Amino acid sequence: MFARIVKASIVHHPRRFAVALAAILVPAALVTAVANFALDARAKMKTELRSRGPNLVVMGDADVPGLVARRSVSTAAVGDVEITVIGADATIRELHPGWRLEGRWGTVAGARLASRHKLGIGDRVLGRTIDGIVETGEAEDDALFVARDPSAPVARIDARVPGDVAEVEAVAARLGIEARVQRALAASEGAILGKLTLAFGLVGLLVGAVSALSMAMSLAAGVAQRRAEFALWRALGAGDGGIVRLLAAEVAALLGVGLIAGAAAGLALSQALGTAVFGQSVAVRPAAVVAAALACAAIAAAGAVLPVRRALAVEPALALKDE
Amino acid sequence: MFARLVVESLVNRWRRKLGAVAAVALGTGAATGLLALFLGVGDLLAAEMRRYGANILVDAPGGTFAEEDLRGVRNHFWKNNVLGFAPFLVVEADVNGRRATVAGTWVDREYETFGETSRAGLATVVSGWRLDGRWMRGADEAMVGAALARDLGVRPGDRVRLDGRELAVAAVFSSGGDEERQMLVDLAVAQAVAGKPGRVSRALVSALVTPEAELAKMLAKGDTISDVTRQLATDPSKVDPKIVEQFNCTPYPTTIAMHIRRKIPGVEARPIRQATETEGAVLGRVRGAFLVLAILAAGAGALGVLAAMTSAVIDRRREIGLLKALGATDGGVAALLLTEAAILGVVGGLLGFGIGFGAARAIGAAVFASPPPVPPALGLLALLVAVAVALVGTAWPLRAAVRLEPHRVLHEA
Repeated sequence: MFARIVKASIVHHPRRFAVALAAILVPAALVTAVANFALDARAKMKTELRSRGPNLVVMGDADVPGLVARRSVSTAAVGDVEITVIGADATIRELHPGWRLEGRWGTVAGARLASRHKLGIGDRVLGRTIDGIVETGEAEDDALFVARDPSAPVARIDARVPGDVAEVEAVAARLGIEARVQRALAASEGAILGKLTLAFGLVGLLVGAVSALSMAMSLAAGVAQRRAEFALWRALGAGDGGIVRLLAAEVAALLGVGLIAGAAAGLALSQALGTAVFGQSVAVRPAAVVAAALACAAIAAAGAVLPVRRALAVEPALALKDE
Repeated sequence: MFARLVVESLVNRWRRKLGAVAAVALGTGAATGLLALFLGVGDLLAAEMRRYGANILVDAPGGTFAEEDLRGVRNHFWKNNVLGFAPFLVVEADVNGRRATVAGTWVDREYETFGETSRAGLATVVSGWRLDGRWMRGADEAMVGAALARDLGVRPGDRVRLDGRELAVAAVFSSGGDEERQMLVDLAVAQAVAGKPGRVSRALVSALVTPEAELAKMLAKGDTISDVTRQLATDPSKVDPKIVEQFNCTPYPTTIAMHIRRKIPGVEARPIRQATETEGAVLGRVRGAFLVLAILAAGAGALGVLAAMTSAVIDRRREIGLLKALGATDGGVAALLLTEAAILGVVGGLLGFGIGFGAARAIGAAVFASPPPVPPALGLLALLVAVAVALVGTAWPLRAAVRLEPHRVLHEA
């Protein structure tokens, strides 16, 4: 009997059910998307910050884990001027994404060297053709980069050691030669990530609160619309508890469908947003999904309870005659 | 009559309207607050990123320039964007009987440029330095780079001899750069040792800048930013005047470097690309993230308004039926409800702008220690959108409500 009433209430009022479902599904999707995006954005920013430069510079040759680029340094005469020639592995470009490169990596002239000697891409210098011009703003602007001769002594290694500063320091200490830990990025990493976490958290709460409110209001309106129906049930002898149980079952059914579909839609949405902002896919954070679902369920329940209590407070005769 | 109906509905049943107004206010509040944050977060975070260290390098190729000319760092249109700078004079000298590189600089001091005082020195431009000891103070102290300290066998608290002077080692430091092989002393000491009074060889500048990546959109096909910036530095007449103007009125790293170069004779000033590009990349991502969140908030807000207005109309189906039974036309009923919705939209929108303004300032203050500016145009936008959404939210259920036969609604069970 109970199951039949719940089923009938859903099947015979498909439109009402669809509206209520949308009222749960859409906010649930938004909350899931925001929670998942905000959580993942922090991780993405961390990766972004860490991939912006080497975190260890070793002045000599050593075995360094992670992404490394070895350099050998020599000088050569161009006309009557001595220039610095850096033999470098091609990975050096990947280690310094901030360097501005025109053309492609290969034989590459520093920007200041190029402007001093009027060198452009395709020109020849020291028997090589220039493939690109690089602007660093630092000492490398005066040098010529060529491919490293493996037999030349290594003067310096730029490296991106996996892990945080403590791990980089441990590696540096183990090497036994001069190893400079690059702390500037790590220093701003802490400050920036902390601020972003806080900002994303507050913003996420705000979006969540607004979504929740719309969900609660829609449900409340849905319940209020059915006052006459409740009154009829009571007139036919149903107890308050029975009506509440009936409604609870209906809301549970709505939540079951709405939250699962909402979470799926939210994850798809956060995926699309993450791709748009960070250019890479967003990981699914189960904690975010579960938290969003629980919050939505709690709010939906709260949104249904108040109007039900109000509906039950009205005398059946009055409600059936309206107001 | 029409006006009276609207006023009485609003005045006598104000409790019922409260929900709708609250929904409109919260929805617009969340959307405007986040939009304001999105617009302001770039500037707030740019200031934060400046902890990353210097982003412009000034040097005189193969020589020195006058210390007095350093004023040029803060003597141009973008002087307020220059947050700090530190001069250096590098000299080879005898330290404890060995040849070593000594760099003279300032740690932290007040610097006066044309009547304006600001801070200058290492502390304003470096980031992530690790000090074993404390920053040096005054002309009789020094800081020794970690690699040099190992070679010399000195520790914080020791004394070192520099060309006949005795200096106390205030700290042994690691910076991540070539300074680790140098000894830092007061600028005046290095000038005396080098025999170059009043001269410096380079300066590091930390300036608040706008990422140049935004400029890429303006460029003609095939042009790159480095092309244009190089041309600007060498032959500005060849560059599209529109781009020259954009450059002159935006604090790009290249712009500030250009201004500094013009003010100091004989120097070159270059953006340090690792710093400027990192900043640009991070700011771009963060702005993107906030834009996304603002859009989601706007979506959630609109949804809330729709829900509130829809339930308000459903609540009043009986009233609509009564009005129609008394002879009101569909158009008349619609006009009445839409006018009400517009009024609720205006009130809610204004409240919402206030809420959004407050939220943006509160979040800005909590997160970045300085609230973002909220452009007044945002208020107008918020109001328009609030009214529009309120009208849509009313019109949609209204269509169904006015179509109903009066007697059915009035008799509805």
